Amino acid sequence: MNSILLTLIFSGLVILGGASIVIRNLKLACILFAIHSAYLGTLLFVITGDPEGIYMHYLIAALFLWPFLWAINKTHNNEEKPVLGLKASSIAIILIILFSNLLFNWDVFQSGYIALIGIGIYGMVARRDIIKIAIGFNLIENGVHLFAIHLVTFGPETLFIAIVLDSATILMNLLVVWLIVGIYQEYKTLNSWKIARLRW
Amino acid sequence: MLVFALLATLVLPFVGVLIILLLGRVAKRAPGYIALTIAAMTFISLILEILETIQVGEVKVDFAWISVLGPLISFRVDNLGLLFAFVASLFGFLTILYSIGDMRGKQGTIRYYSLMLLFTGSMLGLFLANNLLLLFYFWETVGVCSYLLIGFNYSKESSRASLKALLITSFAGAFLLVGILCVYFFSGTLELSEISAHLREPMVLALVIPLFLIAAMAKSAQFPLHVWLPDATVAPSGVTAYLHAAAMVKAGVYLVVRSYATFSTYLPSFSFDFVVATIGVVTLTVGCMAAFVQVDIKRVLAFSTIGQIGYIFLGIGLGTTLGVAGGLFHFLNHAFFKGLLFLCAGCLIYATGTKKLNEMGGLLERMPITASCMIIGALSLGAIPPFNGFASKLMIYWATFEKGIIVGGVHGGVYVIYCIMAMFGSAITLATLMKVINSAFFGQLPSKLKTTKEVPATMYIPLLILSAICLIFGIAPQLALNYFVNPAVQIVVGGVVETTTLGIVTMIGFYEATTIAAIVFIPLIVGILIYRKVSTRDLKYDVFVGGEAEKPYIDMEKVKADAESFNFATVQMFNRYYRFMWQGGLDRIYQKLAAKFLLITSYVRRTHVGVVNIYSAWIILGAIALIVLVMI
Repeated sequence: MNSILLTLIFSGLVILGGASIVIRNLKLACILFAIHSAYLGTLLFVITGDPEGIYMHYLIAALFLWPFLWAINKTHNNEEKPVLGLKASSIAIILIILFSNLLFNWDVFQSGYIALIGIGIYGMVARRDIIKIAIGFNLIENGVHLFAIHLVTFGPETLFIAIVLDSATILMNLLVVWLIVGIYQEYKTLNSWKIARLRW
Repeated sequence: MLVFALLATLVLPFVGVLIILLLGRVAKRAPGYIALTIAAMTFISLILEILETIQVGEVKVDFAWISVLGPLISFRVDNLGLLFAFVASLFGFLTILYSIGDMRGKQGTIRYYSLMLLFTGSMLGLFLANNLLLLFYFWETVGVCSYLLIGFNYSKESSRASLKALLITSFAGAFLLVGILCVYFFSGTLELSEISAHLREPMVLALVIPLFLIAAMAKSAQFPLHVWLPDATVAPSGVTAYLHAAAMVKAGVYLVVRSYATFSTYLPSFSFDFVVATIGVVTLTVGCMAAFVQVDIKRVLAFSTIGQIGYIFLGIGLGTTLGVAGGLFHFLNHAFFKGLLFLCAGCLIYATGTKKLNEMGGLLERMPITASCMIIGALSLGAIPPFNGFASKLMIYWATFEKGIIVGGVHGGVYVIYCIMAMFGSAITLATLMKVINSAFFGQLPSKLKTTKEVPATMYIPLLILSAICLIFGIAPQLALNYFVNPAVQIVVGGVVETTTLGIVTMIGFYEATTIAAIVFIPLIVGILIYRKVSTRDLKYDVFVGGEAEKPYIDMEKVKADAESFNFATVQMFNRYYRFMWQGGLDRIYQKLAAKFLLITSYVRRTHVGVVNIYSAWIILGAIALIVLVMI
């Protein structure tokens, strides 16, 4: 009973993450990712018992940051054409989930974070739109978060790791949003292949 | 209390940076005064720390971090680190005080003062760190700060100079990192205080110390990695003074002394003393000879810094009690007189608007305070008894000679030659400074500078403080040795230099500084008093002509002896050497290397297309390759 519940919870987490990568409507993808992050925050809040209220930070970050990006209507709504199409992406993500489950013998916790990291990497490799790349990067970070909690479940360092990862996530997302808006104003595109001139 | 003072010393500069960034726009002069307050508070808390440490000896402070990795943030307060930290903190305060006048009305004061505080804070962290990784972190922070400060003016010249400094020092910094990893691999700890006890394989020091030494050579501008320092003089005067006197170049000295102190039990089985001393001697010869032929006042001082750090390396490199004491004493003295000279040079540039020695002259009457301070600094640097430079250089000569006697044979003879070369370098330094003093303060005043005025009080107060310290340390070197140098020497080699109430006593001889000072100064003061009583102030003729020609026949601007005439004969003598140096010297070799390196990187550059997708793919391929490598 318990394991079935856990499976459902983690598969919801992974599927939300995968959907936020595959869907080409950017607003919808951002909303899905915000739900995913809030979901993860709640999950960690429940798992760790949250002695110091650390994961509330994560929740707040997730809830406020991505709507913030989405609220910036200064950029366009349709994603740039990705490297791989809808069918290929779906197949790739399903393969990643399958592979991670096979790797860890259907252990939901471990295969969950591996799948999240894998999907994030896929997003970074196969999507041209920089907002999608940012989402992919955040998915990797969520996976690492889950991994860190798994590694030192209730040690004295949990607090420290949480603070570092939270503040890193918040700062990075702010920076990324700021950069994306700046890049869009300067180059009128979010296609990372067209802004290669930013290279030093 | 000690922990509180230590925390205040380490954290205050960084807090000050934040305060300046937040409140810097309130008023035009706000950044300067905030920085001054913070620097003063840092200095006071360091003094408190010194007073506490004198009572308890050595103190360690660890801050909890991830327990698996050990205490990553750990500081140790001992007399060696405190000696360096004292100088860094004092000069942080003095240069900021000086900069308030110097930077008035210039752009970018927020950037300037926040970087200066960051620089000070990083230097203090570097000198007090107990963890090698933390030391490396501060080491590189110092490099970045100096890069940003050297390139402060945003001109083409300064950006080239700052890039050069950054490239050379961080290239060598990589060696330091490799050395630290080697230490960790062979001892399992990064704590400086515990490495020696845990070292499993002492032979690894044959690899580690040269790696440390390369890093130290680049930071301290030792031959052949000294080329960045003269170019770095394009920075604002306060920055140059700090860079040369207390920060940056002293970091390398600290690293060498610290590794001597850390590995002292293993060192006798290697001959690093000879290597370090050789580096010092070559550098001091090159530096002093190059300084002699410069005509830009800041470049003269920069090259002489290279030479003087060579002396410090020579003294410390010997590894004997007298040598290390001489090196550390010279380090202390060099901080004071070189800081003084650079600040004086800054005052001259501020007042006259030129760096060229040939465009100055006769400024003694226009700027009496700057002139007298600069003459004191020059006599100290030129090693004239009874100024402080003489006491420390004398100790270094003695130490080199003593080492030669102890070692004996051909090897010992080499040390005696080193001693003679060090004296030769000192003579050239004196000639260099006489050239500077003569060109700037004596002779004919150019018509352009008729309206020159003395600098404001905030600029000359640091000069007065520094020249007072130079005089005190010169008249009574035993005070400096007892209170500053000997406690640090005790940590490095476990012995101290004997002092008497009037001077220093060693195996070779004695130097009664206070008696000599009395012999020199009492007749001098009497002479000045008699001269002032007797002489008339109104000169009938200009200086050079000596009454032979009236003004219409000679243009005084043209008959002025220029700075090059001082070194004409020496240039003729070492013709080949100077020709090589003027044709680019070592820079030419480095440029050829850089061209080769660019050729190689031009192939690698093609993989860097600027597309995030491809970069991520590279990362994944690399990760897979690593995993496969580990599996195999």
